[in-house]
Amino acid sequence: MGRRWTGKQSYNFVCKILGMKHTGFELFLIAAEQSEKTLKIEYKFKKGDQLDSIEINVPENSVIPSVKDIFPGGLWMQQEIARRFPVSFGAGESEDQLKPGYSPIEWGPFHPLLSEPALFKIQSKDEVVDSISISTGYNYRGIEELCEGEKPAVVLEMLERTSLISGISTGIAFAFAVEKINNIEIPEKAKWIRLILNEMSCFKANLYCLNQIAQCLGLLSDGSEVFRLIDLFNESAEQICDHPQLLGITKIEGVSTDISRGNIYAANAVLQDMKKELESLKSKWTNTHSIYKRLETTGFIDSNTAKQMSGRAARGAGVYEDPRKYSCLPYQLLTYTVPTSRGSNCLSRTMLLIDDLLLSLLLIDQGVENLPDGNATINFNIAGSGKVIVREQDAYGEIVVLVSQENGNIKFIKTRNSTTLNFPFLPDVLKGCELTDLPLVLTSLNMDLSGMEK
Amino acid sequence: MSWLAKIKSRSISVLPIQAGGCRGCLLQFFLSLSLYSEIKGITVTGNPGQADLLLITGCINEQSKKAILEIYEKIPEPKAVISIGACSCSGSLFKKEGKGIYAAEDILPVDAWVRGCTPNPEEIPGTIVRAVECAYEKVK
Repeated sequence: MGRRWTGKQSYNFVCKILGMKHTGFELFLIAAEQSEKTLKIEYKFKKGDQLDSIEINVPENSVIPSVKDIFPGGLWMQQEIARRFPVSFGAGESEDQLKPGYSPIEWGPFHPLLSEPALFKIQSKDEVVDSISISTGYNYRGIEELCEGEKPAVVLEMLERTSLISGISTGIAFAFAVEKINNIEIPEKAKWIRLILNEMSCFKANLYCLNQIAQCLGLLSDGSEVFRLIDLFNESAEQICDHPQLLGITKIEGVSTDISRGNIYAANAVLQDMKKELESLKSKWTNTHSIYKRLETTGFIDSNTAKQMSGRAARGAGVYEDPRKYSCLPYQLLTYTVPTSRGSNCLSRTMLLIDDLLLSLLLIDQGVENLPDGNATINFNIAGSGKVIVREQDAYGEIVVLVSQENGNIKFIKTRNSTTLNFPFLPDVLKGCELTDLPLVLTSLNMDLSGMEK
Repeated sequence: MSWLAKIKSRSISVLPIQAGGCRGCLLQFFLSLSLYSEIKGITVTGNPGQADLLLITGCINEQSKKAILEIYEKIPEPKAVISIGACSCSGSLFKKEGKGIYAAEDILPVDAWVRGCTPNPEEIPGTIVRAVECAYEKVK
């Protein structure tokens, strides 16, 4: 039995959280750190580029108030902490009881066509979802725990393999965090190479997404066409760094190999050739009545929910969001407009996806044009101590990495991506959805469950 | 009826398992089916009762180990197991003392491995065909 907070303690804490909400801050990370029998929990808030935090120290086995009613996006981060540390947040979640006349369906985690093992317990009536409870199945590696006490180079390799989708972005964010802690200013060329690689990583992740949407729509030839583009991408990535997933090129003090200008130009030429094909796919999907209608009539999210979500789910409802503004990469020197659309349905999100692919191509092209000469790596001692938070762009939205280093070793890290914020909204979003539309709606929301620390 | 066994009159059904990982290997598998289609007749199934081959990707932990063993038991003989990617072949970076991460061969009799992080998609269809042929040979 946990030690519940007194009424006064809970009141003070909730007032502080509400104060943040009323002053326009949004919760964007909850991190915990254990020392002996005390647990330090940090609630990080953002308002544009302004950051603020609330810290609480609680003894083990405490029960502290949940913030999910004030910031629903914080639910999953609380659950992650409760599973790893001896603390709980408010009353436990109760399992939905099966209503008479409703059919229970368990979807995943063994279904191979679901891109990630997640268990969806669905109650449906007349093929329409009435309620849904979701858990992330068995896909747990505990990367954050495995990183503790390791050298930054080892942690970087692990974080690059967190998810195929945001892998390199997580690695780049972590490298910047360690460099900030150790006051390392990496060469300009390394920053531009990282920018190109980050955009390439986003481009590839979005291509995978497009392929999944094509398959959900039953457009197998379009899906194969997108796979062909992915294969071309792999070839151009291998030209740059000998690895189709761009792994192993990011290094704490810059980039591991100095890429030749010729190779980057060649890879860029291959990528820019894909622009026409993506534009023709977009035109085909918007001008084919059956595809247009199918996308338009599925996956509607009401504007209030969409505003609280992150990434394409929010931008598809007209909310402007640009994580590149807060990046350590030199995005501020580039000219671009972040696409947004209205409608908040599968159509708006799918068209945004194609626009994001085109935006990545534009940024890669500008990055290649701006690539300076000089060294791409420096040698520096990384034995410092400190704690830093870094925000970076990934394929689906913003990725946040909190790193604490002590005498050259990583003390702890906490990562979260846009899926972590969007995950708690899924049951509401999927309610009322027809069972046959479930894969399409989920795919259009671009859930990257591998990137979440489960 | 031995002549009947020699005629491959049906396709190979693969049951892929994502044991926990970055899902890169599974995407390489689907990429291989889409691109290198000179080897025809490899289909994906979600039903262990219809599967000929279990394809394991990702790091195997205590929870996924239990699920994988359960699925393996349900696949009818002759059956093959292949392990794809560094995580399932060896545990990769994530295999550390006392952390409960297993390689595929720690828990099952593996017939073939496609190593690499991420594995080469060109090697996957051929490996699947050879692993299933080996499984049929063993039964004979």
